[in-house]
Formats: sequence, structure tokens, C-alpha cells
Amino acid sequence: MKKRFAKIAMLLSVMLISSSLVACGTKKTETTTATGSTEPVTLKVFFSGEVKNMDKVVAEFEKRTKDTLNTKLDVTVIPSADYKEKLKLQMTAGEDMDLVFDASFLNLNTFAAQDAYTDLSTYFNNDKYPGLKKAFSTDYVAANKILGKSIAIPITSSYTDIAGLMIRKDLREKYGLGPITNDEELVKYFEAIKANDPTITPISIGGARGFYQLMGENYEDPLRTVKAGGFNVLLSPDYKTVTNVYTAGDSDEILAKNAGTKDTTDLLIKQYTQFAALSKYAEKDSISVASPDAYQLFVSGKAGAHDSEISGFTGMRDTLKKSVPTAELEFYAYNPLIRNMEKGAIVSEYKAWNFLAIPASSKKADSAMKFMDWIFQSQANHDLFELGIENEDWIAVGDDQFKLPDTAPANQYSFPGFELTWNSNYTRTNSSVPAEVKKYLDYQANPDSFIYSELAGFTFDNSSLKTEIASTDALYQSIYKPLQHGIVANPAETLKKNNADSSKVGLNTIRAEVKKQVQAFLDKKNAK
Amino acid sequence: MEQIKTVKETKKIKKIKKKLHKQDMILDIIIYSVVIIFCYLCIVPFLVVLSASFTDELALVQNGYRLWPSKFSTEAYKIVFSTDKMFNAYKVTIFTTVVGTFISMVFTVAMAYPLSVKSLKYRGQISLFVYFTMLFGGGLVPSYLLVSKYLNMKNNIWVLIIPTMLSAWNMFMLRNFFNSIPPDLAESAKIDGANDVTILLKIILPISVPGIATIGLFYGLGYWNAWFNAMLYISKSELYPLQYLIMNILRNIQFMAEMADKTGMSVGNLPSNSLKMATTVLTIGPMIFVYPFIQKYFTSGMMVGAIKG
Amino acid sequence: MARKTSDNSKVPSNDKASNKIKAKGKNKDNSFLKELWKNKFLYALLVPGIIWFVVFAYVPLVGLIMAFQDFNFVKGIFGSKLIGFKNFEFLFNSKNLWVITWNTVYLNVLFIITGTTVAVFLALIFVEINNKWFKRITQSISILPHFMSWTVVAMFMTAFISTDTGIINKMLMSVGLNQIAFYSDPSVWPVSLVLLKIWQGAGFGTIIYIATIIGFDKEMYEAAQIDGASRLQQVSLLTLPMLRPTIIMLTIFSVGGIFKGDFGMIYAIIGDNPLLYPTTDVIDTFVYRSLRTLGDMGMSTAVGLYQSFIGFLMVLIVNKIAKAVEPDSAIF
Repeated sequence: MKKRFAKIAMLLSVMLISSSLVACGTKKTETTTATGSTEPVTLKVFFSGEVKNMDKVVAEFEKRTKDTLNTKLDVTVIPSADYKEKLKLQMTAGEDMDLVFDASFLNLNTFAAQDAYTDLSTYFNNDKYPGLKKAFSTDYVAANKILGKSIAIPITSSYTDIAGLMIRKDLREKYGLGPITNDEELVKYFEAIKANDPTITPISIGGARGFYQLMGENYEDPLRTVKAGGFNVLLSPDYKTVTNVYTAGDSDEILAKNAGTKDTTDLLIKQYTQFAALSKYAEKDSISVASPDAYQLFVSGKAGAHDSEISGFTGMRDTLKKSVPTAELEFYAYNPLIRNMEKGAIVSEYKAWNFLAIPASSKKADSAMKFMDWIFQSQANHDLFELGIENEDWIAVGDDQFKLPDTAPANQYSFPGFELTWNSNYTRTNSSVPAEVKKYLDYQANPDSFIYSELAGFTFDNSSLKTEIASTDALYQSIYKPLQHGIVANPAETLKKNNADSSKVGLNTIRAEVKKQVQAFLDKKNAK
Repeated sequence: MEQIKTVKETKKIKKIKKKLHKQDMILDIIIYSVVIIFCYLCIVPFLVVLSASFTDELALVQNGYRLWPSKFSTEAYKIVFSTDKMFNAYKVTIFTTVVGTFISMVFTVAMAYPLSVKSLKYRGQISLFVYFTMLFGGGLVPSYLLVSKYLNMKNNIWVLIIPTMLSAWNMFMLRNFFNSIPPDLAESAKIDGANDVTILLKIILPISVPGIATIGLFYGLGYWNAWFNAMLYISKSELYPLQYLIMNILRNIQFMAEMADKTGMSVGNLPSNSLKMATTVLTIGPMIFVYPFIQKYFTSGMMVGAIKG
Repeated sequence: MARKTSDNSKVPSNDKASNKIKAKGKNKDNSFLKELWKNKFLYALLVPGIIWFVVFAYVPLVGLIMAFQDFNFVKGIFGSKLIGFKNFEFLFNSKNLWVITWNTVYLNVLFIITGTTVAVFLALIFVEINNKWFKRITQSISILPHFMSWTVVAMFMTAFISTDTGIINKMLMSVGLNQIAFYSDPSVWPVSLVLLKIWQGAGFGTIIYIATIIGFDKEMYEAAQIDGASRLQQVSLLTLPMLRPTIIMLTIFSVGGIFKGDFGMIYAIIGDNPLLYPTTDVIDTFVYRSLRTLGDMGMSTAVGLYQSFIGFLMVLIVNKIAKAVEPDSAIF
């Protein structure tokens, strides 16, 4: 009895050991990215806004990777209005989170300063993660460091979204005016509307931005003036030292340091004075109009122009056509260099607007990054999460475009790509984009259109200046909107007064800190 | 003796009544006018909201808000009810409202009555103890930690009831109603040998119907319109209450509108203004239907002849 | 005989007096337990509620410490650094501190006075209506505005107050008067906000008063009628005095919030229109703007603590006065 038992025991143990050896061996050759096991892993992922029918995409993903990643996704979608607060609460409660969407307008900078996210530097440019290597170049990663660390994955497909005015082409043609190529012609267009169609508001500007970047002037050497912490920073001609840190309303003493350049805040005051002259073309009481209402005014045919980024073109045009079937749109970029599609017109920090991060409390950073790696390993993987099931939710048009099927499926997948998959190497463009938009999108996608900002990769750390920032913010917000809407009679005086008031509550403390941090950043960069 | 008294009284009453008749008529006119004017001011905005909810979005943008839809459309309501979760949300909300109101009333009565008894020595201190919480609050962070982390109530239907179960304000209101009950009632019952609980249940409650109905109404409204705790603590769609769903529909539509811009995919004419109106109607609607029926409880509870001699 | 039912102070106070004497003679513990035993049923009824308040209202008060912390989400309440009163600085250093404080208190006082007056007035009127269905329908209608969110109301405001096209300005122009520049003239807003608040809250506010009036002893009114009192006299001599405790109590509650601006209403209606800040900017809207980009929880908790604290002081004072004047209306 004993003997037989011993025999069986030996047999079993031999089997066990040999099978584990075999398994080890198989694992080694199976995949080079796994760190030793294909144990099932569940990632808790958090997105913001609205996501439709993601279950089928996740199911498809889990099916395709059952033998490789063996990863399940537990997706929670939080309404965008609540996302910022909920993430704060969940972080404080130490809740289980593996992959979260975050952005500079959400909690990204706060959490970065508090070391709430895992440093992901080791995962980029790492041969063990080929997908990530392909999608995220060294420059891209370096430009998107937050406070010096890669604590989040940048998610963007283009480095700018050109700003300008949407113009009613049909109205312009009706008045016999040629294409609008500069600001004088724009004003002529407004005048024409006033003369011929008095019920139409020439330009609807309701909302915080007001006239936004209209009629701004460019700096001589745009690389010498950078923005940080709410200030303008003038760099030396060799871009290595900080010459001046200034803002609108500063005393002549401070502005004197900009001597020799066109680089003064006079440009800003000039712009605000223009706004004052333009305010007669805007809707009445524009300062009390909310931005969706200004948008509505335009897309219902009652306004002649409206501020928008180029990405809004198709949506606005289609909505406009419902009210005014004969309407046509064209785009007037604010920046004359961009308008003329010149090379090197756009100064960019190559910074993404949206990120994905892994909370420091998560123990599954490896698995999460492997999941991200998988997404960027191939176009097919990427398209699954960005667009859905091919031929059901979308149809491929060539290698880099897509179109929507004629009849949408009942369970159409809809997902905000900027929260997971946007990437200039992979994101497909909608083939039905109109020519007007396409020419700008192509220009945006062309690397020659850009020049690399000196401050790429810099983040201003304001965690020690909270009181000063709260105080100066409160003051600034009292004048910002009236200035942007052109209802301030004397912009220079208003800005000077605001500057004086702000100086009493810490403006210069912030200024000194900005100078210190920017200089330190430049020193570190140039020491290499 | 009694009969003569009654006849005399009746004659006197008739005389006085004639004198006051004219005064009454003038008063009545004033009363009815004021009420009608005030109600006009209250109902017109609601009618505009109602009309806008049934108006085609485009027509709404072009023609503005009118008392009658310029172009009829049920699109907004279709969107609201297209969420399959809607039916479930009604179930959740009805449950939390009915059960929640009941539980709240039990606890509130249990607190309000003792605090209305004058001979309770520590009622001042306990009242202060409760009142203090109306002024001071620790904010969202500690409450979230308490409910979600330490009490582990996330995704549990009771999280929609228990953390908001007691309202100090409602409790003090109810105490105020109890205050107006003459203490002789309780005292004479005590002499007969009843204890406080019996007094509460058999004597106090039956004559406090207007107060109970009022506070019950306040709690009911609170539960019906609640969505904040659902936003914080519920992520399972089966447990979403009605108001949360309604709020979300609105926000998600706005989000879709933003998405349309970013991806160049036109998402059609999203009815966001008419949608806001429709959600308002759906929120207010049930209240208007319920309130007239609750009002009958306000006319009962008369104390005629409760204490004689 | 007409008897005031609210005159409970005349209840034989022998018990109280004798208890006091007895307490003086024995040590505190003994009388405490004696009291608990004497009213054991009542205290037993109170216990569940007290426990609830301890758990859900007092335990979270721990979070008030955030007002003095440089709050770090990772370190949490128990790990964040204490920084004294630094979180309060941005509020007290502001040159607008006086303006926003004045606006907050001034508007709240107006709201309390007008709100109470109109609600009581309407309640008295509603009670006088005899026609059952007219009464029910009008009461239901009167509470409608309470349920309209301010964002929806703000959408209609433009139709009323726009320059040139607004209903109000059209009316003014048609009778030859000057228009009111609602969007740039701050002086019209205190009145406008008060009117809006009345419109929204008066109907709903009548509910409490009506329910209270219904509970009054009918015999008194009958006796008064026999004595020849007119309806007006009945109201002023019977109803109003008996309503006093309720009115005072509700007022005390409102006083507790006197430093807290009605953010929901003001932000929805005024929005980000700096031209109107001189009369409409309250503490809450100011703080919202200051912390919009920062989102610092320590600072927002600090301001909330400050507002609660001042409100508490005010309530202590007013409650003491109320206790002397109308004991039933005091909260504690």
C-alpha cells in the first residue's frame, strides 16, 4: 500500500515538475512582452462622457487576446460633468483604479504635483513594448512630460486645431464680395451684412472667449516669446536665458526690458482696442449670452460669422443647412500666417490636451501598459477601439480614412477617441470631410507647418502659490470677459489698474516663480 | 336653559353676519384677485416650458419660446424615453420614495415628539446637537469616504435612502407642529396610566395629520428629485433613479454635440433646448398630480371638542 | 372661553423647580440618570435618530480639518500637511471682501423679509378660500415655480429683459419710458433678484404656514365670530399671533444661512457678467471664480467653515432673543 502510494506520489511529482518545466519553456517562447505569466488580469478603466456599446468591442478584444494578454476590461464611464470631482473623491478614498482618463483641464496637474500617478518613463522606447515604441516617439514623449516626469500617456492625433471664424460663404457671395483674405475685408463683410440684412447679426460672440484671437498680431520671432504661468516670457535671442517676464498692464519699467523687440503688451492693448471697435457688429448684450446660444444663433442662420476651431466645420455646416438649405460655409483662420498656409507658422509644444494615467496605487501598471501596447501594435488593433467592429460600425477607405456605413447598426459603437486611441500614426480621418476642411487638416498634419517651442515639455508647478493664484484669478476674471467682448472703453487703463491690484495680492510672487522655473528648465535642457 | 342660549346665539350670529357680509364680499374679491394673479404668474412659465418641450428644436431656436408650439414635435420625449433604463429608473425611484419617506417619517416623528415635550430636561441640548448639523458640514470628501469606503455602501439601493434619511429642518418643522398640541392631552392620558409611546401613537399622531402630511410631502419630494447620491455612489445602471437618468440624458446630449465638432461626424440636430424643457416637465409633472390628492389631509385633524371643561 | 393653545409657558413649572432643587442637593450623575429613567420612553425614541446624526453628520465633520490643510488627494485627510490659516488668505486679502460680504448679507436679509411676508400673506389668503377645487388647483399651481431649476428660468429671462426686444423694455418704450439696461446696470438687480426669489419660493413657502393654521383650534374662531370679530380682525388677533412661533423659527433657520449666498440662483441668472458684480457678487460666486482653475478643496472648505461659523454666531444671538420673546419658537 505504502509502496504504491509512494510510486503514485513520485509519478505525480514528476508530472508536475515536468509540466511546469514545459510550461516555463512554452511561456518563454510564447511572448517576449509577458513578464512570466498569462494569469487572468482585470483592469479597472475609467472614462468620461458618453460611450455607447463598448461591450461588444471589449468582448472582441478579450476574444482576440485570450491566449496572449488574457486581460479583461472593467470599464466605468462617468458623466463628463461629474468626472473631475468623482476622480478626486475616488483618489482620496484609495479606490481601485488601473487606467484613468485625465487632462490639463481636469485634475492632471494637481495629481501630478501630488505624485498620484505612476511614472511611466520605462515603458516608452522600450523594445518590450513595440506598439508603444511605434506610436510614441522620443520627442513626443519628452514634450508631454508633466513636471519633468512621464506620468501620463498623451492621447492626441494632431498638435493643433486651427482657430478662426466660420463665415457664411453664401452671404458673402450674395453681397458681391470676394474671398476674405485679411481683416479689412472681414470688416467690409460685416458692414455689408449690416447694410443688406439688418436682421442678421454680423458676428455672434457670446461666451467667455468673445472675439478670441481675432485681429491679433504676431510677434517678430515667435520662438522668443513663450507663455508660462499666465505670463509672457521673453527669451534672449539665443533662447537660453529669460530676459523678461511680463504681462498686460505692467509698468513701463518692467516693459522697458523688452526694448528692441516688437514684443510688448501694446500688441494686446491694440487688439482689445480693435475689439471695442468691433463690438457694434456683435449681438446685443453679448456679455450675457452663453456660448451655446451664440452657436445656435449662427447655425440657425441669424448670424454671419462665429468663432470655431476647424474641427467644428462639418457639424456646423450640416446643422446650418437644416435651417438654411442654401447656406455654405467657409473658414477664416485668425492667424494670417496660417491663413496663407505658410511653413513654420505654428509654434507648438507638441503637447496633448488629453492623457491616460495609471494611479500610483494600482498594482497592475504592467498589465495596463501591455494593454496600451496592444492597441498600438497594429492598425487593426487600434481601429477596433477607436472605431468599432469593421464593416459594422465603420468601413475602411484606403489605409488612413474611414466612412460611416449607410445604415447605422442598432448597436453602433461610439467612443471618445481622445480618451484612449488618438494618435497621429494611426488615427483615420473621416473621408467625407469637405475639401475646405481637408486642406486645413492636411496643413495641420504637415510637420513643416510647425516649429518646436523652446518650452516643449515644461509644466509650471503652481502648488506653492495657491493663495496668490486664487487671488489674481479672481481679479483677472472680472476684466477678462469685458475685454474680450470689446465693452471696455479704455483697455490700457483697465489693464493697468488690474495689474496694480493684482500686485498687492501676489502677482509678483508668481512672476518670480515663473522666471525661476523657466530658467531652470532652460538650463537643464541646454546643459545636455 | 341651553335651548334659549342657542336661539339667542343664532340671532346674534345672523345680525353680525349681515353686517360683515359686505366687508366679506370686498375681502373675497381681493382674495380671489390676488390668488388668480399670483397663479397666473406661476403657471404661464410652466405652460411655456410645456409648449417648448413639444416644439421642434429648430422651430424653437428660430421662433423662440411661445405659449403654443410653433411646430409640434415629440422628439425630445422620444429621446428621454428611448433609454431602456427609464422603466427601471421609475421602479427604483418609486421604491426609494415610498420606502424612504416611510423610514424618514418614523425616525423624524421619533425625534420630533420627545423634543416637543416641555418636561424633557435635555431637549434644549439635544435640539442644539441636531441644529448644529444644519450649519456645519465636513464637505464631500469625508462623507464620500464614510459612505463609500468605511460603510461600503456603493452600488446598494440603500445608499439612496440611509445617508439622507433624516432632515434636521424637517424634524424641527414637525416639532413645531407637535408644539401646538395642548399638553393637557398628554397629561390626562398619563394620569390614565398611558406611557409616552402609547400617547404618541394613539393620541398625538391622529391629531397631527396636517403636520405629518406636510413633512411627509417634503421628504417625498426630496426622494423623488434626488440624484446627487446616485451620482456619487451608483455605477450600476439598474440602480439609477429617475432624476439621475434625466440629468444624464441632458449632459450626454451636450457631450455628443461637442463630439460632433471634434470628429467631424455630424450628429444631426440634437434637441437640447426642447430636451431641457421636457426633462423639467417630467420632473414637475408627477408633483402636480400628487399634490391635490395630498391636500385633503390638510383639512383633517381638527381638534373640536378634544378638550372640554 | 377663548384659550390660547400656545401659551405653554403657563404649564405648572413645579416639576422644573423641584427638579432643580433636587439636583442641587444630589450630585450631577444621579439627576442625569434620574431624568433618563423618568422619561425613558422619550429618550429611547430619540436614540436611533441621535445615532444617525452622529454617524452621518458628526463623523464627517472631521473633514473640517481640510480648511487648515494643504490638501493632498493621495495623503488624504489624515496625511495632508497643516498650514494654519493660509487657506483663508485669498478671501480676506481680496479688495472685494466688503462688497461680496455686504451683497451676501443684504440680499439674504431682503429674501428673508420679503419671502416670509409674502408666504404668510398668501397662506392667510389661501386659508380663506372656501371653494375646495379652486383652492386645490391654485395651491398646486402656486408651487410650480419651486420646481423649475434656475438654469431653465435663466433661459426665459432673456425674453423678458433683453434690450430692445425684451418684454419689459418693449412695455417701457411703449409708454414712453426709458429702457432698463439689465445686462449692464447693476442697480436694478437687488429688486429683480428679490422678485425672482419671491416668485419661486412664495407658493411653496405657504405649505408650512397653511398646515400650521389648519391645526388651530376652530372653537376660538367661532367664539370670536360670536363676539363680533370681522374676518380681518380674526386674522390679526388670532391667526397671526398663533403663527408667530412658526414664523420666528423659520426666520432663525434662515439667519443661520445669512452668510451663504444663493449660488444656484445667482450664478444661473447673472453668470459671468462682471458688469453686474457690484450688487450681485456674493461670497459663493466669488469663491467659485477664484478656485475655478485651482479646484483646491482646502480653500473651499475654509470658506465654508467661515460662513457656517458666522451664521452660527448669529443664530446664537437671535435664538436667545426669540427664547425671551416667544419661547416656543426658539430652536434650542
